[in-house]
Amino acid sequence: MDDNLNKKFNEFKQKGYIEFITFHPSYCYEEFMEGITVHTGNEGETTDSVKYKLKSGIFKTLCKRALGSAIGFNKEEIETKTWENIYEAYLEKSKNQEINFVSAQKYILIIDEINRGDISKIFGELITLLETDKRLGADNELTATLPYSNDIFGVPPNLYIIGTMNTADRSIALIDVALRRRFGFAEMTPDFSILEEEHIEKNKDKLEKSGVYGLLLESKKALEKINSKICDEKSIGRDKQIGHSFLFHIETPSELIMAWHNEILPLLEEYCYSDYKKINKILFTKEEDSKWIKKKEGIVGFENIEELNSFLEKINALG
Amino acid sequence: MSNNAKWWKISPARGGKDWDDWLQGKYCLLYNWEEKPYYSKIKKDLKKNYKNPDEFLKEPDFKGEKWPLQLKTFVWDVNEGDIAFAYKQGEFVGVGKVESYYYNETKGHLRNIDWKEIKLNLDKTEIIKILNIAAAGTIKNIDIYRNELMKLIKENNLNLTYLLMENSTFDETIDLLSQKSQIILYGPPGTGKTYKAREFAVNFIKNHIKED
Repeated sequence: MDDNLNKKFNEFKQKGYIEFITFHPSYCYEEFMEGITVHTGNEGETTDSVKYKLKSGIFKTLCKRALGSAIGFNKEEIETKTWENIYEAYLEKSKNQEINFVSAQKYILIIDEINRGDISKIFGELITLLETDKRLGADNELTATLPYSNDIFGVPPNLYIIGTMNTADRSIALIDVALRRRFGFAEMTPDFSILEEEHIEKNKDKLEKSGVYGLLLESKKALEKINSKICDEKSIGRDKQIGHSFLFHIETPSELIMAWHNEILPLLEEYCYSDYKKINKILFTKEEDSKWIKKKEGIVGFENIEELNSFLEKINALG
Repeated sequence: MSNNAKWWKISPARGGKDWDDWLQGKYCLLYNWEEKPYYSKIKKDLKKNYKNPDEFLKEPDFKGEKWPLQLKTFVWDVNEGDIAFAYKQGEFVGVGKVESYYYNETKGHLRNIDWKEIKLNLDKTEIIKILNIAAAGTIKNIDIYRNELMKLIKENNLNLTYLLMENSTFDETIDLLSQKSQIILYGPPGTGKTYKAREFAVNFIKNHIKED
């Protein structure tokens, strides 16, 4: 399934149906919508002249493709045309007939880590245009004039956005109201049955051979226990549980030790702001130093698989 | 919704003559069952689902005492999000997801079903065997054969995982995306958000594919 998904994903990406971007703190409107880039010579050369060029951002490009395909242009035609050309063609065509966006090819922009960018800065005026009833051809169709190109711009309805947001960084309660209103929100919770079915049981033979099968089951149980305690702990809460995918690709005992030592426990450390008493309390219901987590040393970790085993046993033995 | 999805075998009479039409039209129609009691009950239920139930019940003179059991099943026990296996005289013709509430047109009793994977060229004999055991009757619940069927589907590489996925968030999220046009998948670290985003995108486009 993994391979299949990847293959399809790449195929759709290549056809231009899907684009994948990741927001980060310095991601800006110019990259997303449109901006002006400076053309100088090659690296190391000196140039006499500097050229400025208008450049469409990823979102505008995808909107162009979506609108272009909805009014019947093929991929090559769309590539050679500017947004302005396509928008004019759209206006022309929509005079005589209603454009059928419903059966048009869908285009999807995936924005990973959407909350890590400054959303109002990146989206600018677009945030209003995104609403379904303000898209091109909709009842309250709305367009805006873009600041650099002076293009008249609207969002075609066959363009979709899927964003991802990590709630450990920032609770969704703190999200901009403007965004909350316009996006649909779907919660992803840790799903350990998927882990069990799609990895632990599916690859049972292989995992048993490497000696990690039983430990993975114990780890799964332990994480479920830890999560339920995290949910009960008011200062942490359900937004900061530990997901199932930390254990998903683990095939050997040493990988499992790594996952606990370098990923899971540090995450817990972060959630508790390095309060090791609290970590011990979550894991073992007591604040005192345990063998693996100490007030002075922090996360001690596991020297071998037996130690990890007794760590897991201790967590799972508690009610 | 489909967390409690039931599985059904649907194989109406008339020698399965009309299957081809149905598969293309993405619906399932039961006819020749004219007795129509429980009208008020249906109507009440439709009211919950639709603003204007009369639009869907074109014949306002529902009367009679008895309902054929299987029609009752079709109306009351089948739910949106359930899975239907299309069975036509020893042939396994498709699998679909029930997409609408029951409604009634002059020609009969209808539900929309989004049929998938209709042209299967693989060896389906094992699946047929199971459907045969579950057999007799126009519409039968086959939940008890679920594990066996699932196993066969996997073994035969029938790419139906998307359809048969138990995870209800899948459908709901796709619906949300159609409705809002933009969604955000949120959750703690390690819950597969990025993976899911890719998966949703691929399936969304696959479902609405339009070849150039």
